[in-house]
Amino acid sequence: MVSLPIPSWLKTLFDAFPLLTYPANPLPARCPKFGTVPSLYVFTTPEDADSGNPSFNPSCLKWQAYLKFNRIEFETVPSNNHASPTGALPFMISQQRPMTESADLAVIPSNKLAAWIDKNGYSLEGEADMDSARAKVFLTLVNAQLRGAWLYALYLEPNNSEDLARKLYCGNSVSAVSSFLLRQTKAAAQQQLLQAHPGGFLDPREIYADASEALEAISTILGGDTWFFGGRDPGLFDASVFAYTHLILTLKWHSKENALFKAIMEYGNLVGHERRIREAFFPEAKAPEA
Amino acid sequence: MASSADDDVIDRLKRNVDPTVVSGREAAIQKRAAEQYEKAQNRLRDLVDNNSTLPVTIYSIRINGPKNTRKSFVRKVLEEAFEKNKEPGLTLDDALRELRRQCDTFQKFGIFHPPSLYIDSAGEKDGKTRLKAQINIKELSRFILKSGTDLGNTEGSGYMNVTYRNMFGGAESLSGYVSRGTRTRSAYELNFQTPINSNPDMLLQASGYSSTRSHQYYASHDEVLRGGKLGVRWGEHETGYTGVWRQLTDLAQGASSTARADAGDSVKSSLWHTFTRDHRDNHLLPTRGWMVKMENEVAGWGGLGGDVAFWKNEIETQIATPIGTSGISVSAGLRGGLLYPLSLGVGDNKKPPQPSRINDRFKLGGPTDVRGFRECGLGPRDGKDNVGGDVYIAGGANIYFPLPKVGPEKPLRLQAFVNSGRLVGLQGLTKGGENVNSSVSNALKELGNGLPSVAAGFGLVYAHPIARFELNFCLPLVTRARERSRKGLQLGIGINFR
Repeated sequence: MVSLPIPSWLKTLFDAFPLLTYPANPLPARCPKFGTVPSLYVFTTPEDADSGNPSFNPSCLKWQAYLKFNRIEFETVPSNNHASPTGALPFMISQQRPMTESADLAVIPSNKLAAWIDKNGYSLEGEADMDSARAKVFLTLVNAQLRGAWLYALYLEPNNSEDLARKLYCGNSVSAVSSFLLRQTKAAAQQQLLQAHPGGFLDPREIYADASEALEAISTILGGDTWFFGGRDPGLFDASVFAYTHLILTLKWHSKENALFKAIMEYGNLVGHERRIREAFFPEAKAPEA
Repeated sequence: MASSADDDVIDRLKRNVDPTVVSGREAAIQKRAAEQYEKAQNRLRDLVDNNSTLPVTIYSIRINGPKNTRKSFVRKVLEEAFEKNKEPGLTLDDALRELRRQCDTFQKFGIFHPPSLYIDSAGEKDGKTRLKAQINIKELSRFILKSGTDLGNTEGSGYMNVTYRNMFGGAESLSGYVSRGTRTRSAYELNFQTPINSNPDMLLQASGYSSTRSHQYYASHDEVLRGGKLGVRWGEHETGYTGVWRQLTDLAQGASSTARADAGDSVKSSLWHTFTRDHRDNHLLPTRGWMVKMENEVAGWGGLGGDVAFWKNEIETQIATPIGTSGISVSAGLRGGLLYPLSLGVGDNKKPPQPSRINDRFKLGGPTDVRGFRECGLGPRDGKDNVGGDVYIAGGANIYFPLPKVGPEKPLRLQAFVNSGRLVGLQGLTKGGENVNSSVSNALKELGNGLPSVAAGFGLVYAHPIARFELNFCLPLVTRARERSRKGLQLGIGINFR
């Protein structure tokens, strides 16, 4: 577009308008009011958000726990993937007052959270170095094998998907809508699993066996330590493991589809690790039923 | 109302499409009808002139031509004429008027070419002349495929429409509609329509639709709608049920926390009613007459279900009158709306009234709405997003001058206008929703707090049969901080100007 020079008389005239400006309209009731602390947008229920209980989604819980390890004060906000700038939860809004026209809202997606915490958190002195090759290998075990089994157990086991996934992720007052959403979610989970298991066929025994092996390795690396890699404080790897162990131990799995629950129960040190974090950082959270 | 009820895109689209399509077709049809009638009238003129008070009885009506139309359907239409027949003292004049009305009725179904009427005498009985009538009708083709481009309110789109007319021989129609546009990125609709009781003025409509509409330009999101509608239209009334699943998605990077809070899925299940009385000479550039429109919608209340519960009410009025014979005319309009939160569900599942969502709230402002403000630029604003309000009032007055040398016959005018609006959000609704009434009454009071936001200007108006075009120079006089006013030139293209 060509911008024409504005004659000065016109500019003077324009600047005189509007003749009267009142203060801005206050926002309608549902618009979020910013408190004094950052907001972490996660999958959770309004009740759990109020009491700061763990999110029911491992990716969200991982960051929720890690923020708590870093003693950063924040509140959780119930949300869904549509709200996120990356298309996936969690994300954080660190703005502490209503934004103005000029300033962009400070939205921090999950992949930038670690850097943000580094900048704003207490530095965890005893935290293990996550950049080490060893830590990376074990993180892959959690993010691939354990996550794969989690996806299978939650979305593709028929009873679990109907009783848990549908309620947690596809809740809607209209059952046709929640069925549609569940179908979409299941298809997405299946697609992700098929990427890791080429051949167009998913064998639950293989998926669960992989997860058991991963758990065994993780259990061995924890050994008798309080935190992973001998840290003095729990770190990001502790958060990653807790995110799965806590949810796997506390979700109400269908009795015939609880292979993951049984697998974790075999490793007393992992159960103890989950309990230590829960008691220290989520005192109100549900405890596993033994 | 087009700019504020953004939840029913298809409905809007249809309203935007219809007048253009209908006006062209109707003009042609009416012209032909006029010619036909003239012929018939010529033939009958002498007879009628000399015998208008002649007592007659309609002995038979013969319908020629329908191939796909059911006999029972035609018979039902004719019943009324025979009903009239029983009245004592039927004169030739009455009978002809009744038969012509029949022809009009046939035409109104939109499945026939203009019918022609022939009358003959079938002797005399009991001192009454017996009339034999013959109505020739020819069915329009059953399939119509149409494609083209549409102009809506500041929106352009391309569409394709397939219609299966007179499906079951009772003037039912099934049509499919697909469009791609600048604002309505995509829309699909399947619509079934049938007259009730063979009455062309009483229609039953059922439709299913799916659409994606961009609200990026004022509130950083897209809305995906999937839903269905069942409605009845009779005369000035239309009422029905809508169930629609809305998904707020594809948020822009700079989206406000208000848009983020409302992102995701919600279902609206609602009953609605609209009443329109339009006595304006032209809805795009009225110079005489008045219009009243009232819309009511109840969502989620009682057993309706869904995720949102409210009563939404809008009233719109407009009046226009010429000044003398100079071709100068004035028009004025006033409208308002209220979104009242209701409790959702019944019994143990009853939830207290909740504050409104961005996709249910009213939006205000724009070149076809409150001029001198950007589209949806009035009311509460969070960051870069206009988030809408729960209560509004807007009004304006225009004066139209014909252009020198062009004259008042051409739909081209100079206009001067002043218009204003105020859009307010409900404040401080508690979790239990106990204070809905005080919250609403505070919002209503807030409407009158100070002057409304006002803009004035002048410009050129051209009312093309398809859409109205305006180019105005406007200046805001009164605004609220952060409302998006528009200084200088503003171009408006649209169907629904207020």
